[in-house]
Amino acid sequence: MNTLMRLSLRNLRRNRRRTVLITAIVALATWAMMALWGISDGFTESMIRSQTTLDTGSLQLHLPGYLDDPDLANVFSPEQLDALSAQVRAWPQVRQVSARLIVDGLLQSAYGSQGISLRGLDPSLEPQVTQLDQHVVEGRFLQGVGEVVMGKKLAEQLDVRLGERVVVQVQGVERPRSKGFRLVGISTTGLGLLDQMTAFILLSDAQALTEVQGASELAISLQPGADAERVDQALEQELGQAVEVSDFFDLNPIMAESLYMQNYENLLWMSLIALLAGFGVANTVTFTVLERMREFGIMLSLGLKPRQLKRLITLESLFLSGMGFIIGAVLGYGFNLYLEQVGIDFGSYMGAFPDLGMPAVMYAKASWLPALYCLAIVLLTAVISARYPARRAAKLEPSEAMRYV
Amino acid sequence: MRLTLILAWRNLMRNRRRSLLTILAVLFPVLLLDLMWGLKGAFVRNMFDNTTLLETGHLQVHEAGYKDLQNTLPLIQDVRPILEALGQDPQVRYFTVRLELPALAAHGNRSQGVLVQGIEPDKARQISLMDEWVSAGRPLQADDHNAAIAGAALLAKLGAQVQDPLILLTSHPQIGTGVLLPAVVGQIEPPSRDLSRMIVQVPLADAQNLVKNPNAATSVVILLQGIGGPWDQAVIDAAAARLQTALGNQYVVEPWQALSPETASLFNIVGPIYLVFSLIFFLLGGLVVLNTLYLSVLERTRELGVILALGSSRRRVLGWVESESVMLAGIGSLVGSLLGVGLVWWGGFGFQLPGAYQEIMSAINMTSVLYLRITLEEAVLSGSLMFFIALLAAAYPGWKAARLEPIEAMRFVG
Amino acid sequence: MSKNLLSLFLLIMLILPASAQEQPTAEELLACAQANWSSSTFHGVLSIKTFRPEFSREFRLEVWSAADNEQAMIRTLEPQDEAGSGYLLLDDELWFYTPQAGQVISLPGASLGEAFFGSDVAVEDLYRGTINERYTAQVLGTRNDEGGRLIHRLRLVPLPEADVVYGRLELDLLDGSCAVLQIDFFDQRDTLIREAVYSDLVEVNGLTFALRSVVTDLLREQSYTEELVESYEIGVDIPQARFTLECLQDEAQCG
Repeated sequence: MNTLMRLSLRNLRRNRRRTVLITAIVALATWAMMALWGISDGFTESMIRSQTTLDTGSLQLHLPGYLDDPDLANVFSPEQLDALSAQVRAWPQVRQVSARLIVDGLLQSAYGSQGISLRGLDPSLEPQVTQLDQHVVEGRFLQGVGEVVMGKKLAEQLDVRLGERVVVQVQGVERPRSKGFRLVGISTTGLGLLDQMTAFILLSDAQALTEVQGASELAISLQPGADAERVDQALEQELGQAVEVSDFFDLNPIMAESLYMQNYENLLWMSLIALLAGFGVANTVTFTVLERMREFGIMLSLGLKPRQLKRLITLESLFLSGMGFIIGAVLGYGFNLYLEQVGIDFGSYMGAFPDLGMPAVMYAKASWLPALYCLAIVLLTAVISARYPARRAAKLEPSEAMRYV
Repeated sequence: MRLTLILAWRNLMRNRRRSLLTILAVLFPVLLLDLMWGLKGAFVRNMFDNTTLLETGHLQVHEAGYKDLQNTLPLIQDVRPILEALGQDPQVRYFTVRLELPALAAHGNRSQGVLVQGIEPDKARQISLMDEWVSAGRPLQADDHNAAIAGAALLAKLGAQVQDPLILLTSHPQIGTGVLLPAVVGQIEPPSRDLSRMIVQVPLADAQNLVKNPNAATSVVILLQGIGGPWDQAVIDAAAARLQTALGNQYVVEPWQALSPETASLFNIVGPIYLVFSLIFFLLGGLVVLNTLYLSVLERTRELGVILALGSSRRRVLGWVESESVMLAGIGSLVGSLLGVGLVWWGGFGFQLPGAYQEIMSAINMTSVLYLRITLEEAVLSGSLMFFIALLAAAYPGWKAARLEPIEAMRFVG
Repeated sequence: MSKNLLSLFLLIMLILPASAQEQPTAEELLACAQANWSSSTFHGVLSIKTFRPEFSREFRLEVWSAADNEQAMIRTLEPQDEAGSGYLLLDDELWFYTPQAGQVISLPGASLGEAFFGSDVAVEDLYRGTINERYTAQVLGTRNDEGGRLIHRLRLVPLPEADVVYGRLELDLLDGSCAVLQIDFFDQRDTLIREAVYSDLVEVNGLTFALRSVVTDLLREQSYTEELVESYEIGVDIPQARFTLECLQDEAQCG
């Protein structure tokens, strides 16, 4: 076997042109598959990340039933809140836990009013869970009592300027309540819901306004490198039926389905690429085998067994594909790595992007995982492509082969 | 010349296997490229259909200034002239009237702000998947009166069930108070939780009662003839302009992009992405073609050397090689194009995605039938480009072989 | 909605407590004006006409209000298609009834905003709680108007957390009775955006109030609301049964 391998490698070295051509096909195909995978995965992650870092946090906790009926009746009590926060914060994978009280309300200025979602949060904890505070483009983030931060579009719609007062009216747990808040900061996150339909105030202010102690949800951020899915499952186990743990996909079921479909579409493209490359390899190998009939005839007459000839051809095909794979995989990984750092700016296509919940710049994801799939495909293709020519060659009569034209 | 061709042909026939492989090397990439574009067309059309056929229609008519925030209820006071104008336009194949307004829904002691949608049940059915979301009771029917469909979350909030009575209350400074007392005939569970909390559907006539105007509407949703996919946008735009002129300044006729800007920008992204795909496929296909054509000529160097040694002129040898290449490449790209376009044409009748996909698709309000489609430019491009690549690939080694000394050529190993 | 209703009543219930002195202080004027919302029942018929560029609409309402202003009822008399419908304010709960519905409906306080009636009725921010809780007051000056009446101009600046969208209010108070003759509403950029003018003053049981008011929305063209008190009874005894859901649903149950 060893001899065969050495022989096949030598053959490849001898005929540089053939080697380069087949390797190029496999390399390009592998690169394309890696790039497709990396960009697709990366874009999905970019999208999820923009929402989790700006809005939801990696995971959220609610009382069961809150998500179906986000009412002030379904909120955590202060005791539950303290206990849960402490419990979850103790987890090593958890970076921070921030409580929010959410209630629908009416935001009024002298020039108009708009129905909004009012979000009471803790400005000392929230910046460690989301990056909302880093997206304040005018003014500053929340600090004290009676302050409000809202999205730029909302401020424009109601014609409110920094330092001015707006009135927030909510249906509290007992009765309607209203209060004036001073606009201290204007934010732009690129997420339509946050920029147009949400206003942020202190958690304590929201609690006082609605006369509800406690909070609607706990938003959780994880340490870098932590796996959201795993933490989700582990939390579910530990917290049991009393608390509902939600990840991005639980909160956005439609998005989850769309991404699922996207994966299948990618699989289709990758199959087509593999098919084309596989055909290319098969065609070329067959061609060259036919061309080397004379050479094979000599080898057979010199004592090489037909079975060994078959293996030789297959090995050559494998080596060629293998080399092409390595080049393509490295190039592909490098390409993805580059895009992971630099990203692609879709800013010019912005338009309605904010409403899609997609960031303007999207990044790829560099991973060796697609390489494994590609390797399997490439090796399989190499073996299949070599089958016909190898069998053909093995059936040769040495004398016939030597006279082959 | 004729001799060259005959000789070339005979050469090809002599070595059938090699010829076949070479033809395949051009045929397959062309076929696959056509297939890839066909699928791209299918996906793009799928996205387009999902938006226009299940949501926005191709065009919509609204009262001018309806997006103005100060305008709490942008009512079309009399929708009949609009319907008449639409009926007279031969390109309009379908339209339905909608009346949407905010209201208060009450049951027992509870009440909740909702959005009431007045629809024409039988017509609206054709442009939505709502029937599939019905989880209890039944959908609205054409002869319904004082009936309503409501979101499951809304009903839960009000403590109501199917067959319970609802009170719908609207108020408008100009119109006054409107009251509707429908019975809940069905419950829907749309994929969006927000929708489930907010939506109440009633027959159009009932909604018109709420605004005390039997001819009122907020929008008319229109489908046009002869729209195969997003590539027919020009037709849509032309129809929009025509209808706008016919209806005057009081109304605004908008294409689907204005009503679903998110999908419109998705289309913007999709363009460059598929372009990159196409390029990659081209490159790959080109490489495959290059490979085989190059090798096919290269390995005949020895043979060509013999012919040269026997006295043939270099020019003639080159002529043979080129003729052979043209024939092979020509047959390959032609048959490849025919097969490719044929396959896409057959796929153009629509094929269903397998079972699992179907469920997912309707869950996210999408159809699950794909219609392959390729444009004329694409079909011509794939075949002709591969043809030229093939010629180029064959030309180089052929030229080189013809330049060799016959003895060198005969000893060529490659 | 509730604030619109109560503002309606308050409009009518500006009451004179004691006689005024020369050059009153802001606190005195405030107390004088504040005493306007003290206890007295009210029963009367009002008409409200709303004018907009596109349309105008008129309502005639019969109104009852309890002494503490926490309970009130409105019955619509005109227009014909709304006749018989009504609102009941019980502390912070708002209930609505229309003969078409056949039952009373609970209205969520915040969600409907000012959709009903859609008028410009102002003074809405003066009724809730006490003025002190929401404004600081300052006397701007005193002058004589064309009719020779002595007018005090009072400036009210909302406290930072007050639920008031305006930047400031300036009131013209009639010397002596402290009846409000005019209220100017400014936004937070010193622009006058709304104006309420009161006229046809009458005096009843030592109380002075305006029978007519015109509130103009200066942000829009030709948008204003006119209120007229057609008949009134102050301090009259109103049976408690008036402020019940049964009464809202059936006038016969109102005692």
